[in-house]
Amino acid sequence: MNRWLTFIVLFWLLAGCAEAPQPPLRVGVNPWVGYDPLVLAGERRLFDPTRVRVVELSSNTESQRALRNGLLDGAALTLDEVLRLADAGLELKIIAVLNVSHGADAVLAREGIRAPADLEGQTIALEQTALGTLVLDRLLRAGNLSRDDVHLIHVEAAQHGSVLTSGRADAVITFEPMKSWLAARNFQVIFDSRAMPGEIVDVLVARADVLEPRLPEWVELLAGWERARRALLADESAADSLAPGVELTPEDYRATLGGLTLTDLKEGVRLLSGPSPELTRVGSGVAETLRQLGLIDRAPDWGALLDARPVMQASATLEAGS
Amino acid sequence: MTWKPLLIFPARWLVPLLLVLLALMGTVVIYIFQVHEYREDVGLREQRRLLERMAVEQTRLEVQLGQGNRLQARRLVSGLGLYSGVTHAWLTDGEGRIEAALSRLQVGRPLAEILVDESPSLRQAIHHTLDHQEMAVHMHPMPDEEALLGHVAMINDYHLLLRVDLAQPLAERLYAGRGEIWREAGIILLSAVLLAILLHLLWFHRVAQLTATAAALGAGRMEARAGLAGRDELAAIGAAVDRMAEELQQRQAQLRQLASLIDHSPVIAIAWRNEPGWPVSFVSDNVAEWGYAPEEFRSGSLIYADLIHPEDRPRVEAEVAEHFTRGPDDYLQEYRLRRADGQWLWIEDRTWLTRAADGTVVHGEGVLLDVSERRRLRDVERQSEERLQLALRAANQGLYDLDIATGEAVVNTEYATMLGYDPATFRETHLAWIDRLHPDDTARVGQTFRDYVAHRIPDYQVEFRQRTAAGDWKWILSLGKVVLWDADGHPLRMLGTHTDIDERKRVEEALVASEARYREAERVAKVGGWELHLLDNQLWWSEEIFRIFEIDSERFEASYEAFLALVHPEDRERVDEAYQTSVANHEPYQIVHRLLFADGRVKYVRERGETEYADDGHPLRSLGTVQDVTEQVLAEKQVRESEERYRTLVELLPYGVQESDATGRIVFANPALGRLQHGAPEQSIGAMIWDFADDESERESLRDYSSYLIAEQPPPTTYYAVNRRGDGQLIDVQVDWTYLRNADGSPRGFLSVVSDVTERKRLETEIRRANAELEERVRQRTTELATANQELETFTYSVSHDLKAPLRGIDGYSQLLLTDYGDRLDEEGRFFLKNVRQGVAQMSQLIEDLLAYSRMERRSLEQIALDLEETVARILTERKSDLEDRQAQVEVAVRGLTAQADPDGLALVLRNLIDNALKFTRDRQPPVLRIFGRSSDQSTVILSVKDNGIGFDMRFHDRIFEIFQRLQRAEDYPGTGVGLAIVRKAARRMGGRVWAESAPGQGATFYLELPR
Repeated sequence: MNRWLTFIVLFWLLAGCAEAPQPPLRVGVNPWVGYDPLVLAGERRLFDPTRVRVVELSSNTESQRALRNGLLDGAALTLDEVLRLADAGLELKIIAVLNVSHGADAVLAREGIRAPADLEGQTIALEQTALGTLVLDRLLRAGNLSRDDVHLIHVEAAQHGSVLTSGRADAVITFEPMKSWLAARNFQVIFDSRAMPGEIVDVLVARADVLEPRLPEWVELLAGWERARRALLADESAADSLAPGVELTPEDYRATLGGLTLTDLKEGVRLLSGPSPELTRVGSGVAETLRQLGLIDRAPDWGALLDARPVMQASATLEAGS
Repeated sequence: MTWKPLLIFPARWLVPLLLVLLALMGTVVIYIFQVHEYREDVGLREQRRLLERMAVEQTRLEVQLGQGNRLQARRLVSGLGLYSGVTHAWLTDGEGRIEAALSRLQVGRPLAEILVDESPSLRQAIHHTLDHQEMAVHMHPMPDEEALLGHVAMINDYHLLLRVDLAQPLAERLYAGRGEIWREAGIILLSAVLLAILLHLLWFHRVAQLTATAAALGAGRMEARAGLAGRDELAAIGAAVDRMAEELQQRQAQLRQLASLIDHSPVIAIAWRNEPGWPVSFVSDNVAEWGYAPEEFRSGSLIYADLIHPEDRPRVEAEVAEHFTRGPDDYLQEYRLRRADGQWLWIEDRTWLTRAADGTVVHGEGVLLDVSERRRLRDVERQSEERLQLALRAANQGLYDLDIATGEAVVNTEYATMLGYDPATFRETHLAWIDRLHPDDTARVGQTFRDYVAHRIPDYQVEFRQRTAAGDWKWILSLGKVVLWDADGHPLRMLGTHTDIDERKRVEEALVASEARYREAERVAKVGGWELHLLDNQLWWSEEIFRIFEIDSERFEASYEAFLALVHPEDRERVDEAYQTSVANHEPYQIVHRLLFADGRVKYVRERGETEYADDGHPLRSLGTVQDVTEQVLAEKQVRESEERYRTLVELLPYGVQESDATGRIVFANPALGRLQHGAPEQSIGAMIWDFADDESERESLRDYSSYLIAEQPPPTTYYAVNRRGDGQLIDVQVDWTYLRNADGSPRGFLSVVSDVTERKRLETEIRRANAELEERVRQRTTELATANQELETFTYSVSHDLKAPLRGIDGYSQLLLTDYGDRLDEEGRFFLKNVRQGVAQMSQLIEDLLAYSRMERRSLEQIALDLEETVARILTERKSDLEDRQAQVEVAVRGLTAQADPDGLALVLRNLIDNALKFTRDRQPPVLRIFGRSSDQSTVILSVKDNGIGFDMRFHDRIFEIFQRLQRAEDYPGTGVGLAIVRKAARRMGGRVWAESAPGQGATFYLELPR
């Protein structure tokens, strides 16, 4: 009799299942200290792993590819990368600002070169990315130089150290932890991201089609981010546990972290909301540069690109909870 | 729980209720099956996905690990989280530490430590799978947690472990299939409801009608009718009820008629109860004929027993008491009964009793008939009968009076004593008479009787045999006459006599028998007799003479002319002369001569004869015999010819033939023997058989041998010897011999055939030497070949194995290219890539097949008894999805067979044969596979796999089992051309063989013979 009851109940349950079950939301991050609060949130189960999953990928290129192919629902990316993806026609929403570079990106030069203006006629090494191009642009502007005044060589990030020590280049546009490594070997920092406030920004994007239907999950993810951010800043052991995963010593890890400002939710709300969001102002400058460099075709439609709802709701949740 | 509580519902509610319940149950069952099917589907699909994924990741990870890029490898592993369902991913190093994982915090910790927090089934599955060291992907389904574990070992003892959760895809599949299940449930429920409505209209409505009719009939309204239309069971029941009502109505009417009938008949019906005084409960009204009123009995004022004659009453009461206690319950009584006017009537009272369950009589019913007149007539009849009996006895013959209708016969004393019976107890009936009739006479007697009653013959007069009381036969002459016929001319009564004619018959039979014996003797000896009365020239021939002369005795008379005409013309004069001389000389004569028949045949006869004379010497009659001696004469002639033939043969034979007596002396020799023993045609008779042996010791042993043979008589066997010929030359001889025996079987000597085998011996020696050389050369060559073959196998194996590694790289990267960059390639690019992957797949299959082929050569095989039914079933289960996709019909009949084989080897053979059958039935709808087994004899079992595919020409039979040999173009039927070669190799290595039978377009049958 009980079995029958089970069958009938099962039957009605089946009938009740009007919605298709959904796999967890997948958000991709590449190895970058500035994204690690997301990783920490995943490790510490600060959100439900059956609803949200953070996937560590080998590079930002990989993140973009997976996002494009629909394997990811969202990803942590640099602002310039997001602008280029949006320009290529991918419908994305920026739902949070993760961090702002505050000295983590820098230009180091051999002895004898003390200011950007000294670079005239010298060889500069850089990665052939939007970020590298942006920093170069600001560097030349600071030294009042044009592209023709310098020689450029494109090298992979991993070779930034050797290209300078071997003397193949006179200066290199690089970032942490390479920056600390070179600084410890008597190369001078002649320019860094503190001179371009808010311009080197990492953001969290969601695919536009999965934002609306799964808004609660996005909110949960951002709340997790905020909790992990606080834990990372307050608790040294958290940083120590994350460092081996990106092959850094705890010291290098903390130095890198020092060159960044991890954005809290309130700041995130400020940057994204309002009739004329703060991010639009900074981002327009970046976009203009990208357009001049020919990396994007037209200025982005900021209204369509930004969505402050998740970050506002997460912020409200946290405040109600704390 | 019983089903009875269900009966409280009327069927018009119960049936629809059951239908709906059934529909619900059906839906639930469908749901359960569907879920099961989905689960299998999803399991298979996810396994395939995981397999592909792991193969790709293996390649990528090996590249990174090989270059020492541990960070990159770590990222590759953590990136596996991208793929839906992947819940755990671990890359462990040789020491069991986690090199990479989905979770960054697990990196660097021992796997065992991490597993503590995981489910026991995952721990167990991982524990099992880590034993695999082959670099192939292994799948472990974990049914108790709806998950799959994948494992692959890699270079430097790295292991990749992936756990995939199946719950999500299963839930998605269920969601997708939900509509289908609802649709089926809806259809079933709707059908149930429609069926219920239909049933109501067809059945329950009409059942109500039927019920009402039955109730009306029960209430006695016999005119009620159901009147149901239709031809179904219900209508049949309705019709039956109507018929029953009709019948009941008629019965009622009949009952009324019957009562009135009884009242008008002379039979009085009566019923009484078994109570003191047997009170009458019913008596028919016609009892008034005897002057009584029925009421007098019913009221009890008249006691029936008082009316019975005082002389009969004790008998009647005793009989009744007897029937009450012992039965039978249906009986007849005759007694006298007083009428109301005081006259006595003879009454025949037929009574039947009704008993209660315990056997006591409850009441009786009966009919009473006045038989006074019948009894009077019977008395008269008995008196006349007695008079007749007296007459019969006086006639001293058996007499009978047969009532043909009943078969009863009245016979007299003589009739009985004639047959050896006691007249006092003998009762004759027609059947008993037929039973005693001799079987050979039955037909004849019956025919005579039928002819007589049909007036075809005037009198009934017939002779037949009757079995007597003692069991022997007696001849009887029966005369008879029908004295009473009925109106239609059928006989009713027959009177007749029996006369004992046994003695007369015996004399007749003896006469006939002696005549027959004489004829038989003549026929057997082929001797006929004749008699010639010389005075009136009357000739008489016995029947055998007619037979020898082949003259029809019915049509021709005996005559001397007829005889002479038959005698061979060349012998005619001689025969006549012999007879005439005999008559003239008063001497008997004897002559053998020929007869010549019209068709050219010749017979030899021996004539013997003599003549009787009157006292005056005048010849009176000649008597003689003719004997057919053809066979004798011909046999003698044949013996003579045969003897002549063999003598000539022996004379001409190139072999020596000798006959010797028991002492060894030669008593017969042919010319060839002389040539053999003397070198010239000289005579050897008189010499001893050992005289020609080469030396003394050989002569001695031959002498001993010869006396041993005579003494012991072992069966003859050929022997060889060396003889010295008369001219001194040594020759090898072969002697084939046999015994010559006396009439009592004892040997009296030998018959031998001696042949010169000198040349043959020399040739044999030469051939033996040549053979030995040849064999040595073959042995040498075989060893060389085996070594070369072994090297080749090893080479094939290592080449195939080494080819696999780079191919896996090509496969993995091209797969990545397709999944990750496929959208950036144009149509042509994807087509090229598809071709690359197809080529890789083909080459991979080829290498796998080659590896399987060479492994089959290299690995050591077990030889154990395998249950073929189980093995075949297992392979078919492996191929289940292929077979189902193709909707193949598979027949298997291998019950109870076992074979001695290697389990993996046999599985490989079956798999290849089934795949082969599936491949070549590609265009058949449906493909039909028949897998049969039988034991061919004591030592082997034959398994056959028959398909209805394209078949092949038997000219190519041997080619199909060669490696890389294909009969079809690869474009038409893809394949590597290795499968059947593997089959043959495996079959041979397992001590069996394989062959096939086919014709183009007729399907093919592959046979596998294995030791039992």
